[in-house]
Amino acid sequence: MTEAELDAAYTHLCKTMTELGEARAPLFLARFALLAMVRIGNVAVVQEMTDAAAADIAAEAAG
Amino acid sequence: MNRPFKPYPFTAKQHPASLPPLQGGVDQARHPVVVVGGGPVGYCAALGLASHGVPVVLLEADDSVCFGSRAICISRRSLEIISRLGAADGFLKQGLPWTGGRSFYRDDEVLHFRMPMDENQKHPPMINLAQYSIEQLLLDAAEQRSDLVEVRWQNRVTAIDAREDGTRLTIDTPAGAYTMESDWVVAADGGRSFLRETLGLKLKGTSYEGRYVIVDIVLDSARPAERLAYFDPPCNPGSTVLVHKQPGGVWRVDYQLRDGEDPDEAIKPENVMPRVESLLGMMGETGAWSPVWIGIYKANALTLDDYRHRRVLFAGDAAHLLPIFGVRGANSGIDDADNLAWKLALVVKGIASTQLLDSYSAERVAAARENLSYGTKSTEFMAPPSFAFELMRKAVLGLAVKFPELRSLINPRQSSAIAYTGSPLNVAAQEAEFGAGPACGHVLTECPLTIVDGASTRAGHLTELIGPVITALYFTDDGVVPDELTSCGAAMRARGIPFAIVALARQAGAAKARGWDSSGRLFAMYDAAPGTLYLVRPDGHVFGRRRRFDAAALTEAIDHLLQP
Repeated sequence: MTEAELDAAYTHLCKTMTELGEARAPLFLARFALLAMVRIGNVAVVQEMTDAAAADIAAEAAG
Repeated sequence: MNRPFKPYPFTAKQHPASLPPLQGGVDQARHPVVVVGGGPVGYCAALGLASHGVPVVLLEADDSVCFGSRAICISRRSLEIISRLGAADGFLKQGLPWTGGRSFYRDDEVLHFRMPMDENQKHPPMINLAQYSIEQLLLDAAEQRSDLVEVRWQNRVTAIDAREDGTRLTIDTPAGAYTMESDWVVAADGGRSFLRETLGLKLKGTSYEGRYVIVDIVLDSARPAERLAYFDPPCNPGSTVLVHKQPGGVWRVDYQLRDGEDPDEAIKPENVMPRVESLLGMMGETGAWSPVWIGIYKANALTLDDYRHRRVLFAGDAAHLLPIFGVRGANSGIDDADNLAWKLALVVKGIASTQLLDSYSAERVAAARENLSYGTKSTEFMAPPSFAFELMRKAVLGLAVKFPELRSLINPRQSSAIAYTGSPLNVAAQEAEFGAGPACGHVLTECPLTIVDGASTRAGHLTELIGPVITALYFTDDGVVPDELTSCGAAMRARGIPFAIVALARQAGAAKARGWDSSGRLFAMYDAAPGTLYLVRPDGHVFGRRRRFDAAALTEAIDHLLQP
């Protein structure tokens, strides 16, 4: 993915989430995570991603 | 905290009102062009027209150059334009060049970007200079051209009658009102353009909710000039803060107001000072400081659909409002003025048809839309317009330290030159034959070379060879231009078309060349062999290129440019 492509993908995701609204955002992101998991198709990579996503945010207030 | 304000290190001269000779309250002369608005864009338009020998009256409502914190970043492309207008020396002397910036998330640096800066470039990618200095330097240049540029201070337009065959302006001054007739009007009267509003023309696009407080301070600091962005900094949690160093010890701090903060309360000095103090503490700045100016800013991403309304041509903030994140506001306005000046000059001289002015609108509206999309990207990050953008930004910032592949999302996508790729003025017949070099619609790629000036030579750059004319860059072995090309050029000039052939040679000693490829990179950069010809507009954009000169094709391309 080029930088421009990443940018386009990121923006599309943000706009889609905006349209769904804040209440549906967690479900949307959960679905995206699942689709990403099966698309990546590598258990070690997916587990690493899970750990990376969780790292450093335990101290955040929820929401 | 009672911190007294200090003045800017600049005193604006106050100019008396000036009126022309009147008869019955009417300006005796009918003017070919009147520029409304003495800001950076108005001055660049006036200077551009003057460079083509067209007289201009410039009307400025105030009695001095601007006050306060407004445009502060001038891009490389703008410096190229200002060089052609003969005003760049002051900019380069006074401005602070910067080559990149850093972004921080809480306590970590998450991005360090550098803007394109390579050995081929003449100018730095960006310089910081306050708008009052920008205006003063351009005014100085305009005063040097007082043979053609007449600045009328304290002249405020109060009415406009915009007809198909000309325009009547009604102007108010402290010494009374008067009217004037003009063939053409350049509306460069800023974000709250009276001309745009009174003609009922509507800006379209998005206004963002997020507000930024803008504070200029004088600060004792040796820190270098680079753009600094702090996301969710400990000194101002939940906010975004931008810091820009300006000349004269002035620093600009922009910080985002949180949702629900009352803007009127937020800009009170007693609420601003503690935030600035805490930011400086976080940055490790311990030098003495004083506030100079406080204002509030709301990002807009708006443009008119058409910059031409009968004989009125809109430019700068009067035509479009771009978000500051990406620094394209003033810079795109200067680009507007550069695109407009040569076209309007050729129309005024009767050399080009008025359709050429429609191309101004088409090209610059397309440019605005492109700038808006970049500005929108930056704004979506700097002032997230929804919970989703806010959430995703938090995710990017949190992951950016460990995952560098995400950092490009933080990049503010700074200003870069626009290409008029779809322009009807381009003659793209031989595009496919070139494997490198600026394509039709693109600005010339800069390259150092040796400039030949009569008997002497000096180190210079390619863009210096472009003057207020249509240029044929002709690549040769030895500087010799074929007779047919020379006669073609003479025929153009006999028709009153400003045209120059600039012969470029591969090696030194070519007495007839204007420049030679001393870096050894120029020919390759342009995919040029002897005989290659690039046609360049007075604004430095390529509009055609051929592997071999052909008189009929050249004449046709230029005729097409002038009568599109």
